[in-house]
Amino acid sequence: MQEIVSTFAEMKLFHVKSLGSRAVPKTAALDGEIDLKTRASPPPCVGLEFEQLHKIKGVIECPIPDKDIRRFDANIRLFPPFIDNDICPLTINNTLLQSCYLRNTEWACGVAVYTGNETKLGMSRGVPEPKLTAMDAMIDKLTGAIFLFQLTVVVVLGAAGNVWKDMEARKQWYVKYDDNEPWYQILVIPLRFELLCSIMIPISIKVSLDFVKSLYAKFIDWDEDMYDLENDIPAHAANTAISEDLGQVEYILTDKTGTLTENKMIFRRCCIGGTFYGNESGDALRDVELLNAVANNSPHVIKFLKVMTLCNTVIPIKSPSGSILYKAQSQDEDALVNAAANLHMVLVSKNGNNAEIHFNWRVMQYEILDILEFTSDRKRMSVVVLDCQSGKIFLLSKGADEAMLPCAYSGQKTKTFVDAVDKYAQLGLRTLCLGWRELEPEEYTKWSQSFKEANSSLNDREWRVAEVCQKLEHSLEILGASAIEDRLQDGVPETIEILRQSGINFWMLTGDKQSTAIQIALLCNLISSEPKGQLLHINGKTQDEVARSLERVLLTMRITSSEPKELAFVVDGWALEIILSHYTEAFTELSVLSKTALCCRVTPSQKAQLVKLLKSCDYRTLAIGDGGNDVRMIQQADIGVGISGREGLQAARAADYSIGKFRFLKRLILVHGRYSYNRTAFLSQYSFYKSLLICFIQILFSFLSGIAGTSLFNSVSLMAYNVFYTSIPVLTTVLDKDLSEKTVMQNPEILLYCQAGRLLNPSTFAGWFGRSLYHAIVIFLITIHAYANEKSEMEELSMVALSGSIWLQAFVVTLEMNSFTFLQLLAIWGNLIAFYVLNFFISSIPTSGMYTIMFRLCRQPSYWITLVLISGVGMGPVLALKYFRYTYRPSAINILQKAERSRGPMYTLVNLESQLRSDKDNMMVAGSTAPAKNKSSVYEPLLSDSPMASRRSLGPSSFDVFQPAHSRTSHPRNIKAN
Amino acid sequence: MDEASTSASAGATRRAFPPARSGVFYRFTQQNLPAWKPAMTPGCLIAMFLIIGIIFVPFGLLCLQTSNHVAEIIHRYDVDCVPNAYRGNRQAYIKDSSISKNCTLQAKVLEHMRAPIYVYYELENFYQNHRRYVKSRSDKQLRFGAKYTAESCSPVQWDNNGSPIVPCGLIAWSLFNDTYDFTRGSKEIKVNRKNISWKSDREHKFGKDVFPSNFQNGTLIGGGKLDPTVPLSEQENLIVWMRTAALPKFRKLYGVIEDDLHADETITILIGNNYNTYTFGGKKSIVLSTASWLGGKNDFLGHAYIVTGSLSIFISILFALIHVKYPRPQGDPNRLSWNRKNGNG
Repeated sequence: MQEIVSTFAEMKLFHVKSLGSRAVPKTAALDGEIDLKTRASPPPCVGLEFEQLHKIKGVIECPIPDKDIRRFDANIRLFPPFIDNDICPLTINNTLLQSCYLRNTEWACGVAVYTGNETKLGMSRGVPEPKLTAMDAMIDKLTGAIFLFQLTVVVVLGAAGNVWKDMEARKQWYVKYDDNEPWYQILVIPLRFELLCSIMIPISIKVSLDFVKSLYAKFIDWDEDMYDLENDIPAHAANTAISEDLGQVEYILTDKTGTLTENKMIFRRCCIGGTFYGNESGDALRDVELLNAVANNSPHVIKFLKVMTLCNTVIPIKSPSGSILYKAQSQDEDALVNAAANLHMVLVSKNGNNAEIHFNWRVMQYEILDILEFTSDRKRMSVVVLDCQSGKIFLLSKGADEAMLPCAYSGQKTKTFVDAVDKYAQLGLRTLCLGWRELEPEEYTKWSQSFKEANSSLNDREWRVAEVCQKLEHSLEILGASAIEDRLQDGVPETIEILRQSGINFWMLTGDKQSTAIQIALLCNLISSEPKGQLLHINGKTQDEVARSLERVLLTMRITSSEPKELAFVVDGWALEIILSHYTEAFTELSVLSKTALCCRVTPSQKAQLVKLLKSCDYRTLAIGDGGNDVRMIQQADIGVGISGREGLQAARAADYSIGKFRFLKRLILVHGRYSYNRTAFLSQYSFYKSLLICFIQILFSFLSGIAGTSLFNSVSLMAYNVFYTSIPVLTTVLDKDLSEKTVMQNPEILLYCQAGRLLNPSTFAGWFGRSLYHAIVIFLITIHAYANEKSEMEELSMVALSGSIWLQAFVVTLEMNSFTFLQLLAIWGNLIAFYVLNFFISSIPTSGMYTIMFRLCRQPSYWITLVLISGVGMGPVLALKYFRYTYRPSAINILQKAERSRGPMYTLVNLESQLRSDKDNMMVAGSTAPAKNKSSVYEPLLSDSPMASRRSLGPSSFDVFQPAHSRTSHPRNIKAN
Repeated sequence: MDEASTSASAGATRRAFPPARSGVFYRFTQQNLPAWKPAMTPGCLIAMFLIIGIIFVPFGLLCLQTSNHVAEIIHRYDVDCVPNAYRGNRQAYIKDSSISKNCTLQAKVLEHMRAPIYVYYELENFYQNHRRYVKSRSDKQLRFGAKYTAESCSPVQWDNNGSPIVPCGLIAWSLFNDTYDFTRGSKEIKVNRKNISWKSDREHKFGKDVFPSNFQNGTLIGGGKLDPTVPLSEQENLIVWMRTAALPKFRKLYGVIEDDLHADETITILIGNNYNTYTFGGKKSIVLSTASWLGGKNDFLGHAYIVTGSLSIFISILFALIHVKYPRPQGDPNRLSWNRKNGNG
């Protein structure tokens, strides 16, 4: 294969022509990671001549294809004359996956293992589970309710129709009912009503929603304020259907590394053999003491640097200019190798298994014998190297302190390292412990055998390898600890602050150490230090300990929930495992009580489990992360947000939304999510309103047409009503903004209205239902009275009623919109004009039933007078009610609107706080007056009796007010849905 | 949006999309189109209701005035025209073709009626909008002739011999066939029965070369008969009847009197009371009415406008009072005290 050729099948590499018999494929299409990965030919094939390639005979044993693109466990056995009969393991490192691009490689030769759709890529494509937003669920529920209502109407009117038919219609000789008709004639009238009422459930709602949702997504894609200039990455909405859910997020579960932090690792400090470097300057590379130690060949420091240089999977690439670039899969390794290079221990090249190091211009050759790879379970990695000068074999290890320190040889004092690690962690630095051991050749040979066996096993390879590795990684001499800084991303504390103000609870799930996690959490405002906040620890190694700890925390949480204190709990992966399997109920209660949680040392599957737990409590969850370990969490959550970061695009590809920086999250939620929610709330309810309106008119008409199911409107009008007359104006709701973005950002508490579903719930829907009934009555009564007697011609009267509906709708849309761009004005009033144009057109077709109708009507003054009357009577009370609410019973949104409109969006935080607090008080006080408020036909959320008001306390100062709600274990969300 | 504009300009050099960094589409993509945000201030709203009221009330008076100027004579005759002997059994009366259906009525003209005076017949409790009825017609047959006789006319589309009925359908079959003749003293008042239907109907809906055939020759005879020698486009009483009414009480034009009727005149109406409304208790009336620019006599619009306008003024006054008594400073969160508001409730 030549360079830059996409691979079609998955291949085993046989021979590669490039530096060190490695192919360097680019897997961007596969896992989205843009860094190059190295792939090598398996050991038996190394050194084969080009001419020999076509003579190779052998057997490859491989498992049936699965979708794990990170693993490939197979064996190869070559037949003589090639090498020997040895079984040789093949791993993912010997595999070129489908859709890779080769880079830096002249050619590669291999054998196709999987082809077509049975490749790993083909298998992992999978169909993502469609996500349903809370709004969609609510709309479905309302649709169900409307359907029941429709059935009721059909049954009642059908029965009434049959009664009327027998009592009256049979006497009406001109209708000519047959006296002895078959029994099924009794079904005719109900079926006719079913036909009449079928428009009650708006089909157009799906089309309209799909349209506006794709626009919401486009707005996210287009948003310049969420464009990451640094990395040139725009925000992207991969899932176009769930924008509204962004506005209803209640829990955000965030990864730490790369999400909150930049994932730009810089080696800052280290502790070598008990000596701290870099403590004063904050940069070990500039610490004179360390430089001196290097210059003096201090043995500890040399060993430390060697581990830094060798114990990794970094590939040095010599650029034409002579400088060396490192390609690392892990940012930590990159930082370590670079730091070592700065300390004159330079990894110059890796040719196959041979590594060359320059130290103070002295060349050192090492042969890398084995790599004991890093896994998140082992939390450490090691390499076995052969010193080519001395012939000695060394095991070099690095890893997390709790994975490394137990491996220290008995007798080594690890206290200093524990202290160092603690100290570094408190500074928010990432720590790694480095260790080494000299191996006896016999020991190595013996171990090497079992390692090879484990590596060739087809079942449970990962587990077996880990077990074998364990056997070698012991009695290490701990050399020291390194501390790597991972800076917080710009704007992270502010973003978290704002989002928490808006009532979103934050959980940080990280694979990092507890102390590092706490430190980062403090830095980014997630938790506050004493006395403002309190952090409760849940820990323990055994089930009993964990249970006691959990009980204690829960108790504290219940007691202190009345105090104005920010409580958070912190739990580590081990305790979490026990809790999740044994104490889910208590933990669920804890989750409800606690606004903040830190979970450290958690595995990807635990992250996903936590998301699942919160989801099971009916919370809207948003998971945000950047790495492959967040993918499961992202896929599990209601909304997955991926950060297109340095750990590749894996998370971003799995996510519903991808953004470049964490700080864009606030805009994504507060601006895009909120607007989407508001707009969809209006659009969906309006769709029901307009369908109900026309349906109510039909039903009212049926009382005047002998309950026979006559349609007042002709079929053309009915069809056009949903498709043309009423659908366009409301689509411009995608441009509606109730509050300016700035106001929303300054008053994030306003998101409460979206979270609690205040704008779309059965009670607001009841308002719209009432409004459509009222409007139908107004239109119908005015029409039949104004067009009575000699004017009561069917086509004319129906057109008057239809015009009345269209006029009212234009006014309703106008009234419910908050801001008007020219597009909205054009759509609303242009649509009204288009209605007339269309009807003039239909009225000029001689064969149509409506021939000349519109022309006749438009010439009649009474037509216009009637329509003005319908508009006045229809809109007057609605307007008056809305005004009354707006002025004397304003919601927080109304207050902010007023503030915005009266003197610009200038709002100080102080004002806001006092106001929202009083808003809350008002909610409490108004509880008693709520029933009266619910009756009106204007849609207005139930501010008062929603239990959400209590759960989402807006500020820390109001904890006391809501204590009763906090002591509940049931999940208020359920009640919210009522 | 300062922040946004700076970041946008910073990105200008690096980013290709959107191509134009200004202009309507760009502002659309950034959801940043200039928007008009109307504020619902008390002053604005009070003024609005007041203006609506001020316009509506006089306009309502005007409508009422117009309606009052329309002179109208209504006489219900379906009961009075039944001979005393048949009062108990009206259906026998109407079904017995041997009994003369003629009946005279004296009507007094209360006020001067200026020509043209429209003569309507008014039916009440007659469901021309019944689904079974309203669908029972064939527009194509009316326009193009018998070959377009369709099932839509059911149950009146074929006669007993299986030949098509023209015009088919229940509507035509139940054609209204009462007749009216007017005399002033001994002099007959001419009633013009031409041009009472819509011109568009005569020209485009009813064929000039379509003649009634097999109409009303079945065993069951519905309403009136048609002259088979006159094309449908000239059968104006049929054309008027075929414009179905949407309400169970309706008036249809019978003809136009082209003479003035003077106040205190008594006119005699000779009615041919042929149409059977007795089976279902329908009411029949004869109406003579002049017309205004609003149509016939109809007080509804006038009353509705006056009531709506008055209510509107009332609401505006009410809101004004509330506003004066409990002023709400617009958008001043400092002065907005929620407690005071609750007190007012």
